[in-house]
Amino acid sequence: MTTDAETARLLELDDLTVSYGSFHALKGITVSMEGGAVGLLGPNGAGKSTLIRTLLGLKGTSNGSGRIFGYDIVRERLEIRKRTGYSPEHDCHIPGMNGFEYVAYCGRLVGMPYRDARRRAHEVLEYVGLGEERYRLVDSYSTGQRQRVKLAQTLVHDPSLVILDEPTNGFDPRGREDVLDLIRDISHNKEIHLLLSSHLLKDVERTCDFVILLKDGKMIRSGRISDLKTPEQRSFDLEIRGDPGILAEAAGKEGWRYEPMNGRVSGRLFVPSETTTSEIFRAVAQAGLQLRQLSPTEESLEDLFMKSVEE
Amino acid sequence: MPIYDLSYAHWKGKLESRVVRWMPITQNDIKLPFRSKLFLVFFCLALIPFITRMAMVFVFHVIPDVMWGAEFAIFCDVNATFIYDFFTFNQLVSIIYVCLFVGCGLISKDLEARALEIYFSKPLSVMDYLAGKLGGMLFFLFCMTLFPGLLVILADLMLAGTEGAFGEKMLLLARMVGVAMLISMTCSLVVLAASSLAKSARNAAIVWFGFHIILQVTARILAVTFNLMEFKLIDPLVSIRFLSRKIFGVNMEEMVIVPQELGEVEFAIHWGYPALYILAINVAAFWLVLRRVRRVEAMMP
Repeated sequence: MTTDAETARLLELDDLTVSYGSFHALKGITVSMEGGAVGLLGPNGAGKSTLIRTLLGLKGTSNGSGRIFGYDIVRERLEIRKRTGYSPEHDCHIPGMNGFEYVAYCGRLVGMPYRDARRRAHEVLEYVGLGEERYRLVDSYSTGQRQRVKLAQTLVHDPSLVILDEPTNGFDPRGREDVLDLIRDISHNKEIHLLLSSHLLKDVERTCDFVILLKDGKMIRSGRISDLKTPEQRSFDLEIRGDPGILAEAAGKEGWRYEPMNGRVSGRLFVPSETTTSEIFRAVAQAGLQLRQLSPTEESLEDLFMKSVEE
Repeated sequence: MPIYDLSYAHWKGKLESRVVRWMPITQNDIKLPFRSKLFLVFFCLALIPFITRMAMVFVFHVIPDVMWGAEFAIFCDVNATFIYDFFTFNQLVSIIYVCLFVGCGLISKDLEARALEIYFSKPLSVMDYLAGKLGGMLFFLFCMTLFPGLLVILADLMLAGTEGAFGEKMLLLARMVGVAMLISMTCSLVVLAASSLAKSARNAAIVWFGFHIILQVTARILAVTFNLMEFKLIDPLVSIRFLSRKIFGVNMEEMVIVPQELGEVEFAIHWGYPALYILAINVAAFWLVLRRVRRVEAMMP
């Protein structure tokens, strides 16, 4: 299904504003993503669902423009939907069908020929782990099975982009692990772009390479997760023996910052990125303190998210 | 074995034309009701009037030497009166049952299961969706009207021979198609509008019944109050019968099943008024269902 358009950038939004009456749900979002696995993060009401709806052409824009694979999200929404598989957050299905019929029907709705849709339905149901349950009515599926069948219907026509809204809702821990592996496999091994909206930061961190952080309808950060997690200044967690106040004073003299912490370490030392560990050893020794542990701080996506939201 | 190790292969096929994108919806809406044994029994029962009439036509033509009674001959002569009676009286119960059993659930069940989110995440427009739903409903109503009508006329042509009446039969065929379209389209749009107003088939059926009963009662009250029988045309069923008589070119005296027994008279009114009224009902029903589905589409996810 690869077309020339799909060689274009996955997502390009230019000053995108979306309103419900006088309320602006999305405010001037400008972002460009080349492709890959993109996580959509933000607290409730941040505008994640509105952004997904707008990308699928279900909600019109008030200002600005957007393109997916080079297709305009307003004028060419059916072209976008043809290349996109969408799994909504809510439980939803076509009533009166078993899993196999449902997935094959979804393939037919996209425009797949009858035989191809049926064959693909078998394949993707096996792939998402519903091979044994395919002939049971969808109405009788458990919550986890319904999530899997939703995933299957997004994949049936082999889309270039899969949009998943809270795909791990309703799974037991084992099922959640399986589905996260599956989502990562889709985005990293099957050449399918992914846009994952989740409130579970660990899910995004595990499956995505890029992230868009939203808050109150505004984009507060975007980019490669690994880049965003690399701070402008380095920090180290320290365990010391002695008065932390002396260390704070010594750090100040070096132009560093020391924050005492209550936990498994005494505090966190913030230094310029070019500072070496030898310099830290020397400064602690000069302050007459004993350094018992020094480790670089590992910032999680959660730290980044919390910091960004607080900003 | 982790589930992702099971196969996933890219699909290299070509998508079908957008023009037929609504067809799977129609096919599905035709297929699903037949899974109910109750519906299957009903469908067979609904064929009884048609089979009976076909049998009578067959016997009448194949054994012409027998001196059939005049009343029997009236039932067997395939003409405008025959088709009118068949559509508006014999098949009335079947049409109502199709509307209730099939039509009321068409959109309401989708609303209940939030299926519209699935439909509109596919390359389907609201019009594609409605065309699919309308197609399913029209199929069942055509099974009660158009298809039996076609078969009866064709059977009559084959059994009686053309003998100079071919043009007359073709005119009857055209009139029959017109009336079948009038009945089927109006019933389909009204029942789809009712179905779009509720989130369960039962509530949609109540809305549909309510619509007809309110108009019927209003029509009767106004007719009695003002002593003007034309008010009865407010009842869509009466208007459709009146228009059908005009299309077929028959009058009340020729009826085998006498409409007067149902409180109908020959109305002294130009056919254009009830035609406009039925057109208005169709347009209003279409506007309502379009608005409802668009509203739901705009509200999701």
